[in-house]
This record gives sequence, C-alpha cells and structure tokens, in this order.
Amino acid sequence: MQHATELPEEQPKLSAVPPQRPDSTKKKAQLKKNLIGWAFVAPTVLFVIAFIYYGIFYNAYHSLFSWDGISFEKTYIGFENFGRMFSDPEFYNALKNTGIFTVLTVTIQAGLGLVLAYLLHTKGVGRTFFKSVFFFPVVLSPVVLGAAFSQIFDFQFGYINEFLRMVGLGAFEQNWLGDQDVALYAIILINIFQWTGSSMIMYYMAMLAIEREVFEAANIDGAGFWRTLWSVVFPNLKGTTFTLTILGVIGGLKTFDIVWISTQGGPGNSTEVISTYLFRKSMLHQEVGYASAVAIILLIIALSITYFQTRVQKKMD
Amino acid sequence: MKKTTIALASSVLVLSSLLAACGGKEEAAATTEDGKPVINWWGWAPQPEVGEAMAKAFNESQDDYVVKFKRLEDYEQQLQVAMLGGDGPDVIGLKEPMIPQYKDRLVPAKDYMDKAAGAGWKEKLIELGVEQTTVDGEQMAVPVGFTGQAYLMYNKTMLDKYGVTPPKTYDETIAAIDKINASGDKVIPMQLGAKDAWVGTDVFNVLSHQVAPGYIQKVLEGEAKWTDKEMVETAELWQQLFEDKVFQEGALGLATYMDGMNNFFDKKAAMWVIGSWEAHSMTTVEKRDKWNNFEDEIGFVPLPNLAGGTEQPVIASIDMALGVNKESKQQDGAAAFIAYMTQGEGQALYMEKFEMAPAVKDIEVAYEDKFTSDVERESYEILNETVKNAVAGRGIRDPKVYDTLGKELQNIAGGQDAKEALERIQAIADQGK
Repeated sequence: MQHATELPEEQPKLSAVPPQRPDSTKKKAQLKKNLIGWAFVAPTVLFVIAFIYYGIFYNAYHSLFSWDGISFEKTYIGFENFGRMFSDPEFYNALKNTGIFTVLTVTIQAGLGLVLAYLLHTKGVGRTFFKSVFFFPVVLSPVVLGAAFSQIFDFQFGYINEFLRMVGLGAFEQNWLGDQDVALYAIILINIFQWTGSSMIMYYMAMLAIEREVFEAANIDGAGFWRTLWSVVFPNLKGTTFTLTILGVIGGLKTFDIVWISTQGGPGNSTEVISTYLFRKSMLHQEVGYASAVAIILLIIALSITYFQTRVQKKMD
Repeated sequence: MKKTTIALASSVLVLSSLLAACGGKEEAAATTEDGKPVINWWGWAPQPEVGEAMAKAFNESQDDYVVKFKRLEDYEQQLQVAMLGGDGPDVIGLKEPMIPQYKDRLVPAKDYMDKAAGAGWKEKLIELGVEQTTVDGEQMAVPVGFTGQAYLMYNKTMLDKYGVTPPKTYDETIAAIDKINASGDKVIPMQLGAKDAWVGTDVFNVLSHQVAPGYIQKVLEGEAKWTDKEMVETAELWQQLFEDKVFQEGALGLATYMDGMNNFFDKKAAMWVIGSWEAHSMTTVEKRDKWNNFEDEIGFVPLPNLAGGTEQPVIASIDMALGVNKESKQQDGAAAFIAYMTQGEGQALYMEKFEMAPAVKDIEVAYEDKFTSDVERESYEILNETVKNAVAGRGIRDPKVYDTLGKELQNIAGGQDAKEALERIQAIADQGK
C-alpha cells in the first residue's frame, strides 16, 4: 500500500504526437493518397486530353504543312502559313468584324440584361412569366433563329420593312442581310435577341444575394430607379459582370453558327468573322494547314484576352 | 480501398467509352440483319426520298447487297471530315469540281466497271460526262446526270395575267419587268437568290458566254486573265443588272432555298433564275403533294440574253457522279450499285425523277404523263435539249477561285469596283500556279 506522501510509480508520459512511423511507411501512405486523388480526376483529365489538348497539338502540327485535308500528301512548309496569314487583308477584316461583333454584343447584352434583371427584381407582377419570356430565345437553335430572322429581315416581304412601309417610314427600309454596310449589325441584333436572357438570369440571381437593406437605404435616400441601379446595384455585381464579359468575349471569338446561317460571311466579306474565315479556308478553300495556323492564332488571342481580363479583375479587387 | 475502387472503376469506364467512340462503328454497320453487306451511299443529291427510292429499287433488284442512302446538307464539308477520319461511305456522290479533289481517294472507274457493267460501258456515256469525270487521263467516277444553268423558271399563269411572255433579250426583259411592276401587285418580276454565292457564280458564267463566248474557259485554264477586258465587261454587266433592278432589290439578302423557292410557289415571284434541276417541281405529283395543289402552269426557258445579243447559251456539268471509296471494304457491292445507277435500269428510273438530264446516250425517259400541261412537257424537252447542247461546263475546279469568285461577285453587286474585285480573283488564281 502506498502512503500519501509517496510518489506514485513513474508512469510513461503520454505525448500528443503519435509515435513516428518509419519513412517508408509514410511514403507509401502518401503515394496511396496521391493515387486515389489521381484516380478521381483521371476521367476528366482523359477527357480533356482526348478532346482538347489532342486537338490543339493536331492543329499546331498541321499548321506547319500545306495540306488540302483530302489527299494523303502533306508538304512541310514551316511557318509559311503564319506569314501568309499576317499579310492577308481578309484575315484582318475578319478580326475587325469579330472585334465589332464582340464589343457590341457583350456590352449591349450585359446592359440590357442588367436593366431587365433589375426590373424583374423590383416589379413583382408577372415576374416568373417575364423571366421565361426573356429567357426563351436562349434555348432556340441557331437554325430556328436564322429561319425566323430571314423572314423578318427580308427586303421585299420581311416584317420589319413591311411595317416601316405601312407606317409611312418606307424610306428607312433596309436590305438587312444583303447590304454590306448593315448586315453585320443585323446579325449582332439577332445575337443580342438570343443571349440577353442569359445575362438577365445571371444578374437576377446575383441581385438576390444583395441584402434588402441596401435597396431600402437607397429608397430612403430618395434614389430613383436608374440612380439605384447605377450607384447601388451595379457596383455590387462586379463579379457577375466580369464573368459575363469573359464568357461574352470567348463566345464572340467562337461565334460561327448564327453568322453562317444568316449570311455565310457575306455579302462579300462584310460579315466574315474569324471563325467563318477559318471554316472557309479549311472546308471551302481546302487549305487545312493554313486554317490550322488560323486556329492556333485564335487560341493565342483567346488566352491573351482571358489572362488580361483576369489581371484587371485582380487589380480591381 | 473503397474510394480507390470507385475511382479506378470510373476511369476505366470513361476510357472504354472513349475507345468505343473511336472505333467499332465499321463492324456494327457492316451487315444487315439478313447478313447482306451494307453499301453506304452518300450524296448531296438526289433529294432524300428519291435517293431512298433508288436504293430500294436496287436492293429489290438483287440479293447480294443492301444500299443505304444518306443525304447530307453541308455535304462537301461533312464528307471531308468523314474521309479524314476513315468513316467515309462506300459510294461517294460527287459533283464535277469534287472529282479532281478526291482523285487520291477514289478507285479508277475502269478497275471496276469492266466487271460490274460489262465491256462497252464507256461508249454508252455522253462524252462531256466522261470528260468531266476524268483527271489526268484517268476516269475516276461514273456520271449519273447533268444539270444546266441558267434558266428562267416562270409562272405562265401569272405572266398571262400580266400580258407578258418569257423574255429572250435584254429589251424584252425590261419590258416584262416594267409591265409587271406597273400592275401595282406586290410581285417580284424576276427573282434571283443572290445571297447564295453559287448562284452568282453560275449566272456570271452564263453572262460571260453572252458577252464573249468561250472566254471564261480560257481564263479558267490559265490562258487568259480575270482582269482581261472581256471579264471586266461581264462583271460590269453583272453590276448593272442590280443597279437597273433587273434582279430584284434585296437580291443579295435572298437565299435561293427555301426563301426564293417559297416566294415562287407562294406566287410572290413571276420568274425565278434557277437551274434545270427544278424540272421535278413541274411534275404533277410534286405540284399536288409538295406545293398544296399548285395549279398554275410552270415553264422554263434559258436565261435571256442580257448582254445586248440574242444567243441564250447554257452551261452544264455532271451534278452527280458516283465513285468507289478506296478505303471501302465493299468495293464489289459499290461497283454493282454504280453500274445499276449509271448503265442499268437505275439510270432510267432516276431520270424519271426529273432532277437531272441523262448521262448516257440513247435513253428514253417516259415523261408525257408526268406533267399536267403542254407548256410543262415542252419545257422539259427544252431543258434536256439545251443541257445536251451546253456550250461549256459549269464547274470551276479550283475551290479557292470558285469561292473567291462567288464572294467578289457579291461585292460587285453591292457596288464595289469591278476591276479591283477581278484583280483579287486573279491574285487567288495565281496562287494555284
């Protein structure tokens, strides 16, 4: 029996750190963890390699050749395709048209989308109905839109010109898709019609996250609709605006279907954008090597714009 | 362990899906349920129901093969992609300009036609068809039918109403247009679907033969230039026809199909500049079934001479030739079908669909009871006769020149300087040398 004054037998001290395992065991455990992680991401990685990176390297490889895409013969020509591209006025015309298309569609779609979203946010009546109405064009296929707008824009019997003639404004009738000065803007209009609903929905969802008190405070201060929208709502939606801008710019660079269905880049070259120019060179001129060079340049442009935008966004934050 | 298993299982699933997508289709499509080999035939022509009917007729005529027809809208582009991936059809439908482009992918015709069609098959073909399917002295495909450009497809009932007859000269054309416009009816007197570059190219080609017969052939062969005065004169004539509203205002915004076609059958256009393939639209069956009992009489005449003369030349090309894909595993079956379509009863059957003029000599096509009126019957005869006597081919073999010509013609029609446009075409033509 122990007396109170006697110290208990020394017990082994318990440590918060578990006993150290040998290094080889640690390495095996880490390797297993890594393997599990890789196994989970493997499906996505395989998909990206097969459908994206392989395509990029395929294009990069063929950009160094003269090849019609049909015959078995390919002739190595180095960077000649790139040299020809940079001295081709049609290439610059396509870039210019793409720039006009992208800037106008991105800004107008975002602006209109913002206004519509705020209207839906503030006005309660028929909110669900109007959300559906404004979003509906987003789900339409380009073929359907192209067919519809060819009826709307037809010079002789189209709805717009017939309406203008009916109200005595026949002097303003246009050859909407057949006039080289007008056709690009007509296509921009079709694109805005189709995609404004998408911007509207994104802004609307973002507005729901703004605290109600912010709107109430603006109201108490006497701010009207436009003042509140510009000074209170818009600054709170920077993230959404940035996302829409990135998506819009990439979308603008990729736009092909609505242009091809509406005008095939015509009349002449007036609505030729970079993607239709690439398609024309590849499929119609059978210059697959040259078109591959255009595709590489297009990729570099897209990556550069995305990098620049991300840098600007980080600085603003 | 469970996490690893799930992750590995999903990777294997994705990998096997990717591999399955890349291969295996050939084997799946190789035979039908009856064990007969399937012969895949692709083309942009004929119309889907006609192609299926032709395939069915062949399938019923023999027991060895089954032909399946697929019509593709953006045919040339889809064919190119498929051929690149090794997924091309056994029988390739070809327009004349495609034949030199695909020469490396086709089996020479003599390699299979001697066996499939018997000796003397070549002598049965119209010479122009043999010429247009021959590349570097070797015939690479077998012609099925010709189409011609350019014609006025006219609504005779409407023209009678306006007191107008189909014009043959520039002055008659202007008089007809003025008379129709004077009626006050909202009708396009002479409609052109100039949104389609191919239409402009064909019409320009015909105009060039009106201005300087045969000159454009020298330009296409590199013996003359696009910037020569004969071509400048043709380009300026082309521009003038738009400025003078011979072709309707807004022509550059009108697509031939389906907007132009709908205008014609909705009676919004009295005359339509189009090719001989539209002969099938005159048939009693199509007027009844496709165009809701369209009762007006339809006729065809060659495009009037708009260059101040009287000759109305027509250009014509093989619009469908069939070739055997070198990579086809069913070359015998493909050859049998081609022989059927070009030499056998298939040729006569197809000609009764009235999409194209025959590629063989001495063929009788029963047409009298296929049309409702004498005007339509006579028009069919005019089409066949003028295509047979075409002054030159339609095709422009250099795809870059063909596409650039189409775009520059739109620029010229829109008011740009004709000489500068032709210089740009010449620059593209020079690249090919």
